[in-house]
Amino acid sequence: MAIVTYIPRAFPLTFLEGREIPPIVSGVLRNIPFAVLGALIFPAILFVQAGNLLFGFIGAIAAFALAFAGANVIVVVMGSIAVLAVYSLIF
Amino acid sequence: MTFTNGIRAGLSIAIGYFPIALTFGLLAKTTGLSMWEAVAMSMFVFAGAAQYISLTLISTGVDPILIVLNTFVVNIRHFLMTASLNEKMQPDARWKKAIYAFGVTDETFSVLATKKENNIKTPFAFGVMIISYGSWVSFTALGHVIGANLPAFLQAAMSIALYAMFVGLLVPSMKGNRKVVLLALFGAIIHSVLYWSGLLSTGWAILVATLGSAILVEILYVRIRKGVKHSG
Repeated sequence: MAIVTYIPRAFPLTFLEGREIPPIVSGVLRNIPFAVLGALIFPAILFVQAGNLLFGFIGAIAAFALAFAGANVIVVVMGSIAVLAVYSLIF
Repeated sequence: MTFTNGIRAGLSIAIGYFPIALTFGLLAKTTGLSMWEAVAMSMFVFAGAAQYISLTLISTGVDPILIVLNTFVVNIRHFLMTASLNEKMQPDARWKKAIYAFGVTDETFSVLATKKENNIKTPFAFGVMIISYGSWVSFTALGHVIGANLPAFLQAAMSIALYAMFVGLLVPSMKGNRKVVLLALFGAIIHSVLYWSGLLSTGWAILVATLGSAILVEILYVRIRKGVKHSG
């Protein structure tokens, strides 16, 4: 398990070091972080509590609202946790 | 961008790993893994999704070869992430990169790759990874020792932490940047479609969604740029 986890992490970082990459490929690689964030957030954020889509939905709204208001990452994290903690204490 | 800055930037990951690692320690115990086995898995593998899935497979008595294969598929998206990260990081000795490559997870990657600056310093990356790794390993152990979950309401609420962090990292880059918005949107839509249609397993679905979105948007923008040149 350790080896097959390590290979995808280490191979590109060491192999690509100091190599010229065609501009179109490097453009695609620069796009990866934002594409992967979209894919990591959706749809999984809705399933944080099994069988209760509303719970994840409220968490998502809280996180996006805080982030768009300009809160830094820690505040977004703690704020979303607080909103959901209050929500699950009430309901 | 020092080591200490890295530690600070990794703090939200450490918080997000807390409930997941704690639960992993607990589940590992109930699956029959010893304290050492659970901690060793967190120390040597350091990959949340893969470790959780392997617990399920261990408990159902699946062939170890299949567990290893499955782990590889679940982690295959890291090929894309580290290839992309390579563009952001300062050039450095291969052995240093081989060391911090071990610390690349969805979360550490996201923190590093969404930095405004290019040429991220190696010590900064180490800082982000070490606090994340410390949290993952030590809370795995704690979960195994106390053998109990957090209070239900807190456990549920904290399960949002890592997703909230992803949102907190993504949104500042989205502001005033239509390309970033499109990339995230396509990534989310393609992954959701693949998820609900059940076409691909999670490991492949994230890979296909990410690559699909990154290529699609790049082609779109190359065309727009050409269009602008022709009309101008």
